[in-house]
Amino acid sequence: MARQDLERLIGRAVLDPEFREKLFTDPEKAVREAGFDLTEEELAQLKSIDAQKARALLEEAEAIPAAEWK
Amino acid sequence: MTSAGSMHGTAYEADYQAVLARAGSTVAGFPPALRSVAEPMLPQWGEASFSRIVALLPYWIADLLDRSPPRDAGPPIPHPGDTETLALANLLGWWSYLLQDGLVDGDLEPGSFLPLSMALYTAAVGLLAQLLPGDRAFWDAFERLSLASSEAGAWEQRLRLDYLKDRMTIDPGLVEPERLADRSALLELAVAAQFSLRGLDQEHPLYAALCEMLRHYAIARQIADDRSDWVQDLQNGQVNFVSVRILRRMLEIGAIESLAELDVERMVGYTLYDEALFAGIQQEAIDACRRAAQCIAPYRSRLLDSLVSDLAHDLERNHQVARKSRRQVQAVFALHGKGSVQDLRSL
Repeated sequence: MARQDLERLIGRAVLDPEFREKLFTDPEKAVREAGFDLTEEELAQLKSIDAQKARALLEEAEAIPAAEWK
Repeated sequence: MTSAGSMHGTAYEADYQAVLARAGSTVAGFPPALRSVAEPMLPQWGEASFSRIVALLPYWIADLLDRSPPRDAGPPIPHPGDTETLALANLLGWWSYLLQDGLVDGDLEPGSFLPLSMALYTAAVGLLAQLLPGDRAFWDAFERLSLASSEAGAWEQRLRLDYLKDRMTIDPGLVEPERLADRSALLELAVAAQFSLRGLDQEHPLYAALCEMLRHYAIARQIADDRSDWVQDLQNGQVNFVSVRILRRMLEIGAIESLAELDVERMVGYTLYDEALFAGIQQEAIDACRRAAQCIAPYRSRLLDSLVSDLAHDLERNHQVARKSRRQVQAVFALHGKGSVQDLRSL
């Protein structure tokens, strides 16, 4: 995957809760539907994410960086 | 930012409530169409930390001048109620500016809010005209600061709305923090007015020190705001000081080749791995706070010191919170491993 695609995928996961949830539920389908081109290794990395832990972490980090100054 | 619990936020609470009450009365005197737009906004505006700062600044300056009058000045001339009227003018002027900002952002409907902004501005100028009808030094400062504020507003509008059109590179001037300092015009106007009300000369070093302090304060405050808003602004198709910084960095390291590649998702993904970028922005804001504090240090104003130190404290706290958040996202995506962005970045 090109660097910009990986940055974009992560950025989308941060900004778009719906995409993020799809990514945790079915990474392969989410990536395919979004049109990202992942290697097998990268896909395996995404599949290995502990969704429950990730949800908790991202919920806490939800605001990056928008809620920094309220 | 929460200033309500700090020294500068609590010292004049009764005065702030009095100013808010007069602001409510002023709005109640507007034509019904404007009143119906303004009145629902008043509680939210009144609670906003910067409304408090703008309204109470004349009191803090008065406190400083009462305790440490310039040596060449006579005793302060008492003008009961003038500081409250000046505070009201400042507050109405700030709310007018706030609406203009919302209109530029596209958050507000011009048909209702542009006339309201003009009514608030007119009321503010009317109060200043009552206070200082023939004071040449003040009105010269008013003209100069109004021009500076207008230019700053026009610059921001160009930056936010037009910059991304037909642009391939970034003008160096757009990332200079000094460009943010002209946002302090409204605050500096309070200094000019307080000096005039007390018959003090603008040539005195204290006048320059206060204005310079407020310019540095405005820089720090604006960086903080832009650091908070850059994603949302970009999603609205607008850049600000921080997003221009990010774009410049991405151009410098070759992450993008031109602004035509601008993509909010990519920028968010990119920034998760560039702590140095945010550390640099943070340092600029903290440096601005330090310079602000240095400007007024000789005059020992605990209220103004508190204003600046609270901002520095909030900047640091928010920087650390955001840093922690970025680390959590990195942890989720296990991005330090082989094939990660981190890995790709090192290629």
